[in-house]
Amino acid sequence: MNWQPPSAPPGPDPSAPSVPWETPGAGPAARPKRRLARVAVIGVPVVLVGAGVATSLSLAGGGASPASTPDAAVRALLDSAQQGDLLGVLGTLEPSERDALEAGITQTTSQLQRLQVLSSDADLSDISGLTLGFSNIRTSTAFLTPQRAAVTITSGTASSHIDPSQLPLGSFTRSVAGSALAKTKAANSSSGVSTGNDVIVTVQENGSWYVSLGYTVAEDAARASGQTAPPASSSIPAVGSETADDAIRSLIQSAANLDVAGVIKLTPPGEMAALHDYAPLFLAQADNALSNVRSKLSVSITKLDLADVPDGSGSELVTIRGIAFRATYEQYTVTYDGSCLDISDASDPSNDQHFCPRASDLNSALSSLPAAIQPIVNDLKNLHPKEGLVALEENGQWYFDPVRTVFTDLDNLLGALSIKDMNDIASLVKQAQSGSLSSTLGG
Amino acid sequence: MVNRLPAQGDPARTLLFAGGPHHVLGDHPARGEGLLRAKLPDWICCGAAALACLVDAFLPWMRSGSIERNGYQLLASGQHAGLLAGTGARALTVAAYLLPSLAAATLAALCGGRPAAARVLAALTGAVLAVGAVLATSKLHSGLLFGPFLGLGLGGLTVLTAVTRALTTRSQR
Repeated sequence: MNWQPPSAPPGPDPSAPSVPWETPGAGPAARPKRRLARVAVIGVPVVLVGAGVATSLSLAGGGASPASTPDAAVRALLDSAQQGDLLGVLGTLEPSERDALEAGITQTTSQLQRLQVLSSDADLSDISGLTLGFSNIRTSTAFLTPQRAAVTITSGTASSHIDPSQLPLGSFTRSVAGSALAKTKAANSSSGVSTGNDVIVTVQENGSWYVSLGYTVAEDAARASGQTAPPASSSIPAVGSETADDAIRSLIQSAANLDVAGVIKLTPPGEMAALHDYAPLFLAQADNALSNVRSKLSVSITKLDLADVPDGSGSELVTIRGIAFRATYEQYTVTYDGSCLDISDASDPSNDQHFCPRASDLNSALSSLPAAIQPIVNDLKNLHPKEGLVALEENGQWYFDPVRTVFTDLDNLLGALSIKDMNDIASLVKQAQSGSLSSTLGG
Repeated sequence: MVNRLPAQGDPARTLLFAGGPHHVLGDHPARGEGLLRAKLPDWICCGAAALACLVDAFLPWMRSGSIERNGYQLLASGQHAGLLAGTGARALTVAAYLLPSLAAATLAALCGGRPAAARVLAALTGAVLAVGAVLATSKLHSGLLFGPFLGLGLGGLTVLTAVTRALTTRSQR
C-alpha cells in the first residue's frame, strides 16, 4: 500500500469564484427602488416633523373656544354650572373680575375646610348633594354699547336637586345645624326660568365675550331704579398711584374727606369698570347726602404708618401700623394720637373726655361677663388677624381693590381662628339654641 | 452559499438598521448588524418614550364636575380661566403645544440616523411633560385624574433614559 498524502482539508478553494453578498435587486433594474429608498429615508422624517408641527398648530389654535357672541357666553356659563364644571364657569367670567374672585373663593374654601365648616373632601368642582339643570333656554340680546350687551333669558326650564345629607358640610356645621339638616329631606324642583326685567350683562374683551358680574349688578340696579346706563363720557376716570402705600394713603384721605368720587377713582379700572361707568347714576345723590355732614366735619390725618405685605400676584396687603387724626364736628373735636382718644367740647369744657384703654380695663370688662362665656371671649380676644387694605397693580399703577380686601381680610380672620375657637363658638350656639345661654346671661 | 441582507429600499432594512442613509444604503453586513444592536435601545429609550409622553398628554388629567379634560383641554381651559399667568406659565404653555413637534422630531431624528439629536429631543419632550405635570398637580387642588401622575413618571423616565443613553454611548466611544 503506497503512502499517499492526506487529502486537503475542506476549505475555500482559491480557484473557486468568490460568493458575493447577494443584495437582491442590486442590479441596474433596482435603481428605481434605491431611489425610492432614498426618498423614503429623507421623506419619513420630513413627514413626521410635518405631522408634529401640524398637530402642534392645531392644538394651539383649538382648545376651549371662547364665546363669540354674548348669548354664547351666557349659555357657556349655564352649561358649565349644569355640569358642575368650576373651571368652565371661571372661563366664562370677565377676566379681571374672575381673577379677583377666584383666589378669594379658593382661599376661603380652604379655611372653611380647615375649620370643619365644610368637609375636608368638599370640592368646588364637584359639589355633592347639589345638581342643577337648564333646558330649552331661549335668550334675547340687546347691545348697550358695541362692547357690552345685555342678555335676557326669555324662557326655559331650570331644575335642581338638593340633598342636605350629601352636602359637603363639616363637623362644625353638622354639630350646630345637625337637627335642622336631619329634618330637611332631599328635594327636586323644576320651574320655568326667565330673568324678566333683569339681564345678564356680557362684555367683549380681545374678541371674546364674557359674563360680567359687576356690570350685571350695576345694570340690574339701574333698571330697578328706572334708570338707563349713563353715557361712556360721564364715566369716573381711574386715578392710580405710583406705589401701593400711596394708593391706600389717598384712599384714607378721600374717605376722611367723605369724597365718594375720590374713593371710586382709586379703584382698579378693569376689575371695577362697572363701578366707574355706573357711578354717575348715584354719585350726585350720595354727594347731596354727604354735603351736609361735609360742611360741618373736618378730618385731618396727622400720622399714618403703613406696612406692605406683597402676595406675589400683583397685589399687596397694606396694613395700618399706626394712625393719628384730628376731627372736628360742630363744637366737638376728637383727637386720637395712636393710643388715646380725647374728645373736647368747645362750648362746654367740662364735657371733655379722655379715653386711654389699657389691658386691665379689658380684663375687668371680661370679668363682668357671665362665667360660661368668659373663656370663649378670652380666647377670641387673643385673635390678631392681619387685617388691612389690598392694593392692586393694573397697567403699572396701584389702586385700592375692595373685592380682594374683603376676601383677604376674611381669609386672615378665618386663618386666626382655631378648631378650639370653632368648638367654643359651637358651644355658644348650642347654649343659645337650648336656652341655657339666655338664662345664664339673665342670671 | 448566499448571505442575505434585506434588500436596498426594503422598509424592514430601514427600520432595523436605522442608522441613517449612509448606514441603510451601505452594504457592509457587520456594520448593519451592529447598528441593529446599538439602535434598538435608542428606539425604546427615545422614540417610544417620547411617543408615550405625547400619548399621556391626551389621557384624562382632570375632572371638573362631570367634565373630564385631557392635558391639552386642561391647558386651554386653564388659559381661558386665567390660571396660567406669568412668564414661566406662558413659556410652559408654548412648550406644551410644541410637544407633538418634539415627539415627531425625536422619531424623525431616529429615522434619519441622528441618535444624539434624538436623545436631546426625547429629553426635552420628557421634561416638558414632567414640568407640566408638576404644575398641574401643584396648581390644582382637586379633581386630578391619573394623567398628570403618569406624566410625571413618564416624563421623568424619558429624561432619565435619554440622558443615561447619551452618557453610556459616550463612554462606549
